[in-house]
Amino acid sequence: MIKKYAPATFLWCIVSLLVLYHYHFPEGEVFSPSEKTLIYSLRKKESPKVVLRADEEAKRQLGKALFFDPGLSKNGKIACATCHDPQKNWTDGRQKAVGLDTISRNTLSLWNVKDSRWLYWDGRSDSRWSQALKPMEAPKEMGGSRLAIYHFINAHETYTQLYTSAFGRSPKYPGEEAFPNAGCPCTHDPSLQRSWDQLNDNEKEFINDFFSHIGKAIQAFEDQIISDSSRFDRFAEGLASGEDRMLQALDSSEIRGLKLFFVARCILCHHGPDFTDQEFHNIRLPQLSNPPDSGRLSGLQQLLQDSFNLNSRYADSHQENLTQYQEPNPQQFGAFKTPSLRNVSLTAPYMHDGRFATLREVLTYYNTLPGATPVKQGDEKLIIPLFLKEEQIQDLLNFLSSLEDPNLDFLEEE
Amino acid sequence: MSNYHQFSFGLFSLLILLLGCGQPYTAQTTDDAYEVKITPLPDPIPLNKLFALQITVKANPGIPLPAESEVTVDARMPDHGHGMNTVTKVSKGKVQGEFLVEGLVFHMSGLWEIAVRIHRKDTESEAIFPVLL
Repeated sequence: MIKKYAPATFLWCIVSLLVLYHYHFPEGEVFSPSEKTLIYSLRKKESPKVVLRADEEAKRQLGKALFFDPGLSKNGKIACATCHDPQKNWTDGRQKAVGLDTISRNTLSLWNVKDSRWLYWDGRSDSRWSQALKPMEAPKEMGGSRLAIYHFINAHETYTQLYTSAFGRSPKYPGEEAFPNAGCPCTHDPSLQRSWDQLNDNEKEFINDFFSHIGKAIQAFEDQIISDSSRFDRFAEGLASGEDRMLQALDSSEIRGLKLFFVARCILCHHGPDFTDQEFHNIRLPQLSNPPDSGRLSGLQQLLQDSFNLNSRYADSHQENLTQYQEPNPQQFGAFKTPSLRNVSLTAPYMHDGRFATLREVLTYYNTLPGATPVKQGDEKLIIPLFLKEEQIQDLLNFLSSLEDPNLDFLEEE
Repeated sequence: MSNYHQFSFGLFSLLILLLGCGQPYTAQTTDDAYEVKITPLPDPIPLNKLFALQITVKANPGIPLPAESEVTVDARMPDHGHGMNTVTKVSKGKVQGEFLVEGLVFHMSGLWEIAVRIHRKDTESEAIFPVLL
């Protein structure tokens, strides 16, 4: 089929493979050079300390205050931090999130959210800032509205000052206004929609800009939620430097677990410094909900209709935009985002619907795939039973614990 | 060969092909109507990052060169049973027969097959390019 495939280079590849296959595993080494390279690719580079400009610092402070402020919600009792509690590793410990009502999904942790390509289990947001806005107007979550938040911010001098410093303009509409107390383009609530429809186009545009800034402030705060100094990271550095002290960061069981992580092919989806490919897979979990959760398929449909997505005028131009290359496809039905494994042993329960109370239950599922749905077109065919022994499961669990680094120091620094 | 050694061998294949095979790929379509050359941008293809393909299509005698709307590109992982999570966009280059394909992301390591399809009336010509990432 291929007429010309760089023959000389290809031959060189084959010869190199044959030579290296025989010499790739130096005697006495636990990991081959290729495994070391792979392990090094999984380490999280420590984030450099940066001195923020005054506007960036104000944005971050505003975002932090808003993140913990229940005043943004309809009943004044629910904040972002209600579900993303820093003391619970930025999640809530519940099977399913609870705001004004119970939600159908488990709360994802915010560790290293800065590097997330898609947000939510179904990726219905493509930026942290647009994600931060959705719960505020979701009827089962915070149940608020952008007009109510506009009034709330303008009623608090601390917020108006921080907002003005952060964005170089006042949060107050520059002309005469008599905005309703609450309102949003929210089809789930006709009264909120009617209030929103009272605004003219300029007023709507101002409020939308204002609302996107609220999200961007919260994003600035969330971008500090970084976990990059686990024992695994030290071990990976040690493999590169040869420093004994760092190599001792993992014990023998954890090292066996790390090797199993490759052999059991966890690495195929859980790769990169956050141990996730940032994409969506159907791992053949039996559907427990009725109607079934369509996952990425409905998530993508919502994303493409989102007026704050990366195709919108509110997006920051510097961000890589994959949304422009997305199209809904039936094969996305039942696919969910690969979650990061950073601090995974601290963020139970697991899966999009929180069905597994422990990480051991997750590994048990992958081990034998009880009740797994048949492989359909578009599903991950490589999800097959692993048949690991009990001690191997324990080694994997121990390795996953080595990814813990629940560092909250930054909350105290400000 | 044990599973472990098979796995190590696979990893090394990946590494070496990444390092060594950053060249244009050329293939005939299965019906011998076109010769298709693809060049990844950047080269080599990065794992889990956006990349593009520059494509040059050379028609064999008697076959018309395709228009922009007649060229489509996607990629699949035959061993996994799925493809990319993106849909590509094809635009015409300055020279006839040249195209730029944007929006590709190979989000997993392994064997990928890039399919370049040229559609004409009722016929479709296809060239497949295997890529080990």
